[in-house]
Amino acid sequence: MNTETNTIRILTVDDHALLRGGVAALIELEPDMEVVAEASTGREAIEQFRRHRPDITLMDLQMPDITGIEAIIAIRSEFPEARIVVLTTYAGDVQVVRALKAGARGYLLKGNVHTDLLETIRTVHAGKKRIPPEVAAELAMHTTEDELTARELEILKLIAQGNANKEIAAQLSVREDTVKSHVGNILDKLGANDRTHAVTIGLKRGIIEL
Amino acid sequence: MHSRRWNRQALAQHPEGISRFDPKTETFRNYDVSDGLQSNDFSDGCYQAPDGEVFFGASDGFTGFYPERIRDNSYVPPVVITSFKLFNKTLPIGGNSVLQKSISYVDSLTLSHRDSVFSFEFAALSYANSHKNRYRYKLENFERGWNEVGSKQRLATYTNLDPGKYLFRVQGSNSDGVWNEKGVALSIVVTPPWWKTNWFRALCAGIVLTMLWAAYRFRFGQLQREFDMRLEGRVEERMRVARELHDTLLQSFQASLIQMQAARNNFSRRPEEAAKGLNRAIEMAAGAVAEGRSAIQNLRAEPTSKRDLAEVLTDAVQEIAQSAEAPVNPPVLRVRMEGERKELQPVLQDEIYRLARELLRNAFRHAQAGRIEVEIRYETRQLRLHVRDDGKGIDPGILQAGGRAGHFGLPGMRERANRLGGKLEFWSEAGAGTEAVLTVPATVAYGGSNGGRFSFLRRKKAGS
Repeated sequence: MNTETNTIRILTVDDHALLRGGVAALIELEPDMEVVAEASTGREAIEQFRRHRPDITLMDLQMPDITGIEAIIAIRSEFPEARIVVLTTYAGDVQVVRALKAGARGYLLKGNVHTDLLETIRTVHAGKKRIPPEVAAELAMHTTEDELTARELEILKLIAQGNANKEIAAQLSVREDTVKSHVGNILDKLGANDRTHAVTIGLKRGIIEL
Repeated sequence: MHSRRWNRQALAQHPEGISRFDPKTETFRNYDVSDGLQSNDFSDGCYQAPDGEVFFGASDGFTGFYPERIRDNSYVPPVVITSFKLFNKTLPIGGNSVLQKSISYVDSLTLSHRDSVFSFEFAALSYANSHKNRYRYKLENFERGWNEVGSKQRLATYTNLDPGKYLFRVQGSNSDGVWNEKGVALSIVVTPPWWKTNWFRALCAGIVLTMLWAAYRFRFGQLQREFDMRLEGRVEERMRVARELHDTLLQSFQASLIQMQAARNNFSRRPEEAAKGLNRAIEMAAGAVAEGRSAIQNLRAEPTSKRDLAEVLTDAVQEIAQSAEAPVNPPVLRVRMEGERKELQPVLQDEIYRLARELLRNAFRHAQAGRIEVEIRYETRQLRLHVRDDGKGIDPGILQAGGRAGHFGLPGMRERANRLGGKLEFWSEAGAGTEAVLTVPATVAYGGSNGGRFSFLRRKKAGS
């Protein structure tokens, strides 16, 4: 811990200034913690971490340059002890699993920041993990399901961009039939009725992002 | 002219011979020199002897006969076709000729459609007074009634018959009008040219059917593609709406919520700070409402295709300038047009409009520009649309990475440009502004609104 007092030193990473401001306003009131730096992109987050070595990093997942997950991996490869809390809008199980695999210690939904932020910071700072109950429930629900393969994930992303099978086939340089069979597998694995449904499920579970 | 009633028949002499009238059949039978009269030129003198012999007076004497002894020639004459001519020429027999034996022994003939003029000569084999023989002929399947002719016109000619089967029939009578009702018949087949044959017609019908089927398949495929496109367009649209809600409403409300919580936590200790925090929260909520309103406006914006692109973009520019998202020093917006305005494909115009508006909004919100200019260039080979600003520029790293969807949305916009058959390029340097150029080839852009071009566009969109 890189601090002479007992104050918890915090880095806030989010590309929305309003949200960073809100988080700062909440933390400001707490005598045992302070925001030492803010970052609006993933690269900036890595830089600021190197400079400030915060005790806790609040990390948004969707950012303009590199994703929050990539930033977590980068920071943890340099500072394995880094305690990072994911700060996101969605409770999708797949995204949670990715974040936890990357080394996040806590998970915080933006909609719950106002009630859960301080407690989460203190819990993670104390060396424990914290995952909100609704996220845990979401995780438990899908543990037995097959994960999408990398190809299937790629195709689901292209579907979400409004591409037809033919277009997807052209972009991936495969036959349209191949795409069709992949799409069939995606629908099966996600339990979706059609493409639109698959995209909706994909978004909900954090398999793909907006 | 005198007449004598005899045996319920009447005889009459006249300058052309003697006639007998049969009241039962109401027919005349004429006798002249060729029947043995000494002359045709009878006077009006006549006499019947007590034994029944009748005398008619004429210029060279008189003719006497017993009427009851006059017998008609009852011989039924055979009828034969004596010659066949093509184009008025007699044909050789054998070899390549149509005739392999004499026409008299032939009972069917096959002619080509090229044998357009042919004729038959015929005769009744009755030599007593043969010049009084009569004939009738017809070509069944071509004419209904009989052609009755005398012995001097024993020739039937037909020209330009349609391909088909015919039956040529001739009947003849002897000099006393005794007809050979059976006569002679010759069947004729005129073969059609290849373009009138059944197999050719079947082939044509087949081709037409195949083309109809292909047209049906084509249209079906077209509708299918349209349907798929609409479905995929819906996914895209939903993603766009979701992204917009996420980036605007949700963020503002989340932040507002946090500010309110902070104010509440602060309330007892530092009420003034808390009040400031609440004000911030209220501002954020108001901003969220404004953003929500503009998002809804975008969603229900009318189709733009009925008006000029420059016109609708000018409207968009005004709308953006007055929107709540305006930065502190709002940039000056301008729309320019170069070249002669051309009619744009309606769907395409709408797409171009949406792209341009998004580019404008991005520049307006993020570029920190003093001026933003839209330029529409109607060029011969392409349509070009430039959106330039003199703002801070897009970071090259972001530009290269394609930017993040929802913030700069560059990959999404590039994809949309590709899908409508064009391309979108960005030129930017830090501090030197940004220029986005959308290029759409003329074939796609000015396709006109007829179906063919329309479908071309669709294919382009679906296939890219």
